[in-house]
Amino acid sequence: MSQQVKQRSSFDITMRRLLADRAGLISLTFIILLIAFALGADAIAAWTGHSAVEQFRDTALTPTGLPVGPSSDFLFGADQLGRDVFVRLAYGARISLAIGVVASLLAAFIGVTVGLVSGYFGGWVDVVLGRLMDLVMSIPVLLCMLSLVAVFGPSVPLSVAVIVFFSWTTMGRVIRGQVLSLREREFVMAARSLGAGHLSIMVTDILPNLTVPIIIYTTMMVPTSIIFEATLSFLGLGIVPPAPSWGGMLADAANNSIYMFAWWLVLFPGLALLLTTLSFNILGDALRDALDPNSSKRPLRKRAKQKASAAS
Amino acid sequence: MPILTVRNLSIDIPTGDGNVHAARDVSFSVEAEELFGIAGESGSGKSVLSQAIMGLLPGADINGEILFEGKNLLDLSPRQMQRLRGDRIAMISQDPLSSLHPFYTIGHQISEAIRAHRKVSQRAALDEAIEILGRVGIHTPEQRVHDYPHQFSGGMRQRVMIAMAIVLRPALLIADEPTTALDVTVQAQILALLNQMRRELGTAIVMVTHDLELLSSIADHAMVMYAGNRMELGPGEAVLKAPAHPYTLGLLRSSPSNETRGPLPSIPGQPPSLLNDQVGCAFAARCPSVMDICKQERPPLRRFDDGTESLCWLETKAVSAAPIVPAQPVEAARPDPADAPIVSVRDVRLSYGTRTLFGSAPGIEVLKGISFDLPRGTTLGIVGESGCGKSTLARIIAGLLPPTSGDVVIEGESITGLDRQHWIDMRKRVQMVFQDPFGSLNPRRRVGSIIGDPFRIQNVASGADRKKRVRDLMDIVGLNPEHYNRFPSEFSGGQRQRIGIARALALNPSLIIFDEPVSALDVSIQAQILNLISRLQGELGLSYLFISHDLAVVRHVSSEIVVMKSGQIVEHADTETLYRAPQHPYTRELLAAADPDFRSAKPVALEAGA
Repeated sequence: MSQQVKQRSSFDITMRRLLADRAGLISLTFIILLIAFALGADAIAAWTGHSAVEQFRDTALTPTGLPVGPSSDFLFGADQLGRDVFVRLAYGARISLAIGVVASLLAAFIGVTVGLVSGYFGGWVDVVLGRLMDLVMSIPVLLCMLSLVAVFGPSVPLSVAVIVFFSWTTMGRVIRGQVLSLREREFVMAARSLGAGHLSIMVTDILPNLTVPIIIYTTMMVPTSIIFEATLSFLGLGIVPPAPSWGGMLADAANNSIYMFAWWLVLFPGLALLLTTLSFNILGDALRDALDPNSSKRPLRKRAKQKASAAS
Repeated sequence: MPILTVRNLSIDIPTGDGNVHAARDVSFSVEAEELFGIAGESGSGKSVLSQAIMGLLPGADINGEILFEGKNLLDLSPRQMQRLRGDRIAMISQDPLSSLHPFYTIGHQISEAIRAHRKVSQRAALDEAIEILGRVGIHTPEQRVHDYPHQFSGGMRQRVMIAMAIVLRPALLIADEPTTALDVTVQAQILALLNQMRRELGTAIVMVTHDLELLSSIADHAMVMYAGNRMELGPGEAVLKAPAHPYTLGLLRSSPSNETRGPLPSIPGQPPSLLNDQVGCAFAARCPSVMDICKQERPPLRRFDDGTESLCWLETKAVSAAPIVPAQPVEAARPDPADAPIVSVRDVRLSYGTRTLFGSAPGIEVLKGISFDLPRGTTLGIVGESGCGKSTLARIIAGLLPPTSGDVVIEGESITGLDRQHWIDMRKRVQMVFQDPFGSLNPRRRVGSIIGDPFRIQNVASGADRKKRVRDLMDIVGLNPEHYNRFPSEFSGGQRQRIGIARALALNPSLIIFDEPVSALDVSIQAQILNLISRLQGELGLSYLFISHDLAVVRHVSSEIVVMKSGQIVEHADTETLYRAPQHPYTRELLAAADPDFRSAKPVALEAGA
């Protein structure tokens, strides 16, 4: 019972620090709203009466065939085929978040495993895994993706696989570095002197000490993955139309230079992409400050503030 | 006129958890050429005080006055303060390795310090650097001035730091634990140097230290701090020989020096948190002569005839109020000669070879043939300075490191060439307690699971049984079993070391290896842990291998002592013989350096020689 009390208190401290950071709080709010927006995509579709792929040639297109701008009927306007941008944005958020989160989690899992093994054992294991990371990092991403799509055809699983394949190395390197210093700590020596095996030391002794970097870097990896997915879709290599995705919507807007006339086609998906990645990045920073008591950034700011108030 | 006068200084440092009251109403003054000692345990506010004088506490809320050469330092602008620092007030820090820039030669660093405050040419500054390096005892300074910090040993680096600090002839030198990071034999040299420099240059020295005994021989005045309060102030000799405050007395009595045997008179409990507002006397909770009034009202300042001042309700000196209870000499467990030794180490060698393309080349030899026996139920102390291979030896005996050659036999079984299963079984017989109470406990795991780890790993007990055993262990080592679910960070250094000991006891080992178990702890806590260690030996019949650099500590616990130097045993004798009649010159050197009486004799000897 007291276990739960303690658990909450350490969680409490983190939350308190996080909530004290205004930028972090705003990003967190935005991300929660975005998740609600994505989850409620069906409800939005029902409420507006527009499905994501339905084309409203009568109401959404002018007689000359151009899309209508934002109005009470189409909140964020319509696209060149007469589809509701608002509804498509909601479904696009689903795809973006899902791919972003799933890909980051997978990449984090691989990165942590490889980093842990490579840092813990060192020696030739480290050399082999280190070279593997170097190899992955030196592959030109888009070229590789283009050829893969050419062979297998675009699909969601392929997008996720490619994103994971190219993003686990960052995590792997960070974790390896941390493990290198952790395994020299005396508590690892203590566990060894008790007769603990390698797996036991890695999982019960070292892994819990990696929670903070894992949380932070996974959070930071989400926006990268979202951008990655958008890039792939923009190039027509990711999500298959007519399924909506933010990158695909931007690509539609760029086609035939329709964005010259219909600014909303670029503005809303672009803004969504920008704010989402920005929020995740700021949240990652805020998490680092909240979880890492040694980060120098916050106390300094606080001190300066206190000094200012003391002086006045 | 005093060089430095501090009046009613209070320091509050704002943190996320509230204000840390690092100093409360502290006053003292330092005359020219004086050596003023500030002593206290960790968290007593002594280092914060020295930083406040240097103006290095930008965020803190400081009240009171710091008068330096007639100016109040608290009124100076940061710029004026910067001009003063290094020029009129200099500082030496604890760690000479991290205080010197590894990228520049020491000559460059010293002349940079000179040129920051004086308009002199590079050449002249370098000449001055050479001159000062010669003064602090660096041989052939005109050559060594072009060396980099890593080319100097620890003691030499501290000399360079001192040279850099005094090159501009500051009026005040603040030395924050100047010798803590150094080996005992080097410590004495550095102290002698500081002593000599203040006489030659007329510099006042404020020396901050946790080591009261170190002050006793050299300080003109000593101040004892506790939880931000100035508990006692007076002439060094008087404070340390006839302490007025119960806290000073407790500190002095709990240090394991000289003749003491048996349980040390430790100060019970923990120092209070500096976050709390203080009612009454800060020491009341741990004081042996506590009265009701101590807990309610702030104690008055008592002045005694010999010039000591004490912040205490006691009207007489504590030393006269509480007579020394002669420690009962505990009969050291006599080993039964018929018993086989619990450990016997036979010609253990270890060398790190540099592997080349054609097999391994002969490398550095860390251990050069170590042999000894440890009789059952006794303690063998291993003493030596850093780098002598004592920790490596501990790891070999614990089976964590294979020796290059030689053998270790524990209870009749060789530890070399064991297969995995036997190796794991061997863990039940040998356990280790580590030096660093912060590093040896996993910060992300709860105390209950840390102490229960041996049971989990060895598959001994599980579920409710394991929990009960862990609680019993916590009880044995003097921890509150209710704290089962806490994280190590919620405990103090001494309590963490108790956790480490509880973990070592879990599997009922016959041998425990202590690798510097108390060197990271304060004196009063150190005494508690040493008492615990010897109590456990009596109760559980354990055999100990006790490794330390501190002769006083080793002497207190061990029945036999091994002195190591550069990977070899230079002397092996039972404790009393070793102390009464040391054979090897190195043992004599160590003994001399650790003995406070010798320290006072040293400067005299130097002067006589000069």
